[in-house]
Amino acid sequence: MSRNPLTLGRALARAATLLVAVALGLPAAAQTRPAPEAQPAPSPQRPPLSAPPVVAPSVVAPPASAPQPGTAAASQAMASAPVSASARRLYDRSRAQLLQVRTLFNGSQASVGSGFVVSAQGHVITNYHVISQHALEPERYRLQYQTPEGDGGDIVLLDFDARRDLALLRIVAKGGDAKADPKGVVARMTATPLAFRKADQPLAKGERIYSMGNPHDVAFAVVEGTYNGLVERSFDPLIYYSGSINPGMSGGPVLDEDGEIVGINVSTMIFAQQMSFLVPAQHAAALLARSRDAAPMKGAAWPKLREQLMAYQEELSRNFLAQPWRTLTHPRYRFPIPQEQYMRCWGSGTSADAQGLQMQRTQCRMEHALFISESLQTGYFGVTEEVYDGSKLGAVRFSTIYSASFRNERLGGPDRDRTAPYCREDFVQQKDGPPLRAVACLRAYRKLDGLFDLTVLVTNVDAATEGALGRFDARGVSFANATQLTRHYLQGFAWTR
Amino acid sequence: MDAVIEIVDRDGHCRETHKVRAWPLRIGRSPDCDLVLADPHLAGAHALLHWDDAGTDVAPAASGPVLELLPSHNGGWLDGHRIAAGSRAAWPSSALLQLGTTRLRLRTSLDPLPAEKPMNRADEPVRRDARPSWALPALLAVWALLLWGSNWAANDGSATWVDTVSALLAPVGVALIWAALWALVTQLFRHWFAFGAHLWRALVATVAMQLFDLLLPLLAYMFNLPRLLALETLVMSVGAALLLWWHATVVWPRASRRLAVGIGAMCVVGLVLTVGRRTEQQYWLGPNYMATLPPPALRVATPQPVDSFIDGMARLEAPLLKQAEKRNDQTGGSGDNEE
Repeated sequence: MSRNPLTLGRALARAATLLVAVALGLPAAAQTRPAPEAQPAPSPQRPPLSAPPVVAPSVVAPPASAPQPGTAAASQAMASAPVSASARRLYDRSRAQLLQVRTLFNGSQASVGSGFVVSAQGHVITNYHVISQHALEPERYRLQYQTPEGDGGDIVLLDFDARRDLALLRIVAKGGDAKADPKGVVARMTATPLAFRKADQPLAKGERIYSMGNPHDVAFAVVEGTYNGLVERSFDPLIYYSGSINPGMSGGPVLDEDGEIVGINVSTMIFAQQMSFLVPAQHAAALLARSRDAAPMKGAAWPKLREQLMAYQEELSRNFLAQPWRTLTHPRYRFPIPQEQYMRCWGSGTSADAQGLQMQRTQCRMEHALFISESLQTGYFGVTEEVYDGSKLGAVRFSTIYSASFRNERLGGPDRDRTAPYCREDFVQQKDGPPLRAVACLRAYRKLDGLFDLTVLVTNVDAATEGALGRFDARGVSFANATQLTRHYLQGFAWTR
Repeated sequence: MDAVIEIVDRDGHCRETHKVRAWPLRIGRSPDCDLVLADPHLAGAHALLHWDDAGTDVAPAASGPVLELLPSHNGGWLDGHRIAAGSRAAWPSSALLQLGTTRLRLRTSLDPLPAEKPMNRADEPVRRDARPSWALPALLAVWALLLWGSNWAANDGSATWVDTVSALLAPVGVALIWAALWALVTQLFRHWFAFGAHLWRALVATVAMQLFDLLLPLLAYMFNLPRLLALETLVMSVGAALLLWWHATVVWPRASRRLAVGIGAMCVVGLVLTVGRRTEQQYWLGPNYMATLPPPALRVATPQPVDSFIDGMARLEAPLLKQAEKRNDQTGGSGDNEE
């Protein structure tokens, strides 16, 4: 399936698929990853960037206790104010609630992310991917927090929402007793917890918001950027934020001018400039409301993950199955091409005057995957359709190249997360439909009992010099949904009326 | 008493025989000996061979040949036992005598003469007319045609004649070098540069396997028998083993059974390793799915309705869940993810 040159569309599609790969936790091996362009490895030799000269602040930041964007004059003053003023004001106000979430392996940090205090009881919100190592292997990975002042302590995991990539933690006062906190660290952190912005006060595109966190374990940073609405065509939309978020800032809060939480840093688009993504705050508020009184989690999180993924795949599959297929314009066949409601499709093909095989490819996939662990991402669908015209080649040559393309499909091998693929294959024909060769392959998840990866390969086998190769992928679905989706996909192949 | 002395080479084969015309027989380097050996490690008169009728002090019980070593530097060895110059020893027919670097064996009319052995086919003269003279060129032509055909079918028309010719010549070159190497080995062991014989064998096997490789997927497709493709691995390894054996019998014709056992064992070990690497796969041999898509006219099997295909998927669930249990520590409840 790899016969045409890498076009811009494909490059974009490929870059987009990496969106989730740069979820912003900073694992120990962050430097070896395909890092975005402007991410030098943290080096102590760099000049400190912490003390920029203040350029004539005409408006003094209002007192931290009195947010007042009430009057038009005030907001006008705010708009004309140098942006650093707001950033400084917000950072000063919320720094006591900021913390770094550190995952320790044998006493040294295995990964770091950011988090923030949201309740007087010491509840902390961060990303699931920041604490995933601890969640999956609690015996081997410990969690700790550290404040911007360098104070730190233990923190426990109460609950998480793998679908939204959020986790709820709680600070443990030393000795389980708030009085055993001589420096008053916990008391200071929980004195004025950050509040969520109300859902009925939506931001407008272009409003300035401020992301906070500790990038690359260098120092706490506040990053200004703009709110650009939600990411279009996604199943679980994230906020599109124009600002530079870097690894290590994951789980940090993004605040509006009033210091209320708008979103949580989660990921960034690589090979792009200032394209970052935030989890909308209402999901974190829901997680807090749901598990405010939960006991700390015991043991590995696989059962809870399984439960959440089961519910997610059920919703996603039901939604997908309810959508009718689109098709490509083809004189002979109809192909199942998904609606672009939460999938993005890219088209490419050989040039019109190409010798030999003519090929058009349409590749659709959901660009948002669920992070489970460093080695496992799941919860997305993809459809690829390649249409071949071999009339310039003749039947024998077409058949050879068509077969080679069919053979070239990767199904994956057995690894620590999933089994080898087990396939069912046969000639299939619907009533009044074209005959097809269909292969349905499944890989079972080892630790998420009852979840499977599905790959369906379908070729048209009724013509000597033309055909099409379709591929449908569904990651992390139940067996019942896998068969439903296979049926749905096969039913999308028909004759053009 | 009639006797012959056989001069034996390092392989134990008799190189030359010398009739004993009179007893005693003088052995040495000098021209006045009865058996003259051109061995610089011998004395002029090195040994004397007697026929002892009455029995002697060395072999009192029976009559037989007795060797007396005359004065010399190097003496001799009888079956590896040192005989000093000047001493005497009985020389039974089974024993190998070494004087200097020359090995000698004695055969007398008292020894039972083994029956005439039937000829080994490999020992018959090499038949120059084993196959008609046109067979090898014809087979080479068939192979070249096959190569050209598969190469033609696999490219989309953008290949130049240079690509085509080099794609054709490369495998032919490999076959020629392969045959030449085997011929060299044959030359070493049998003093016969058996290039034609080896090239024939290589071509027969290659063409047969290539045809099999071409026809098996077609058959699998026509009748929807994807599991037939498992034969491919099997036939390829067995075919390769057979080819090796066929080559080797030219070089060591007497050892064809031992070669068969050895090469067969290698083939079995290879297959076991292949299967061992695939124990987690759905099938032990063959690909995950049949990928051949020949022209539709060849399809004999009738397609199924979608529903029965989907129903058939249910059979995958149980083996998959069983497979997922492996390498899964969750069921053990240890929570430790070390593998």
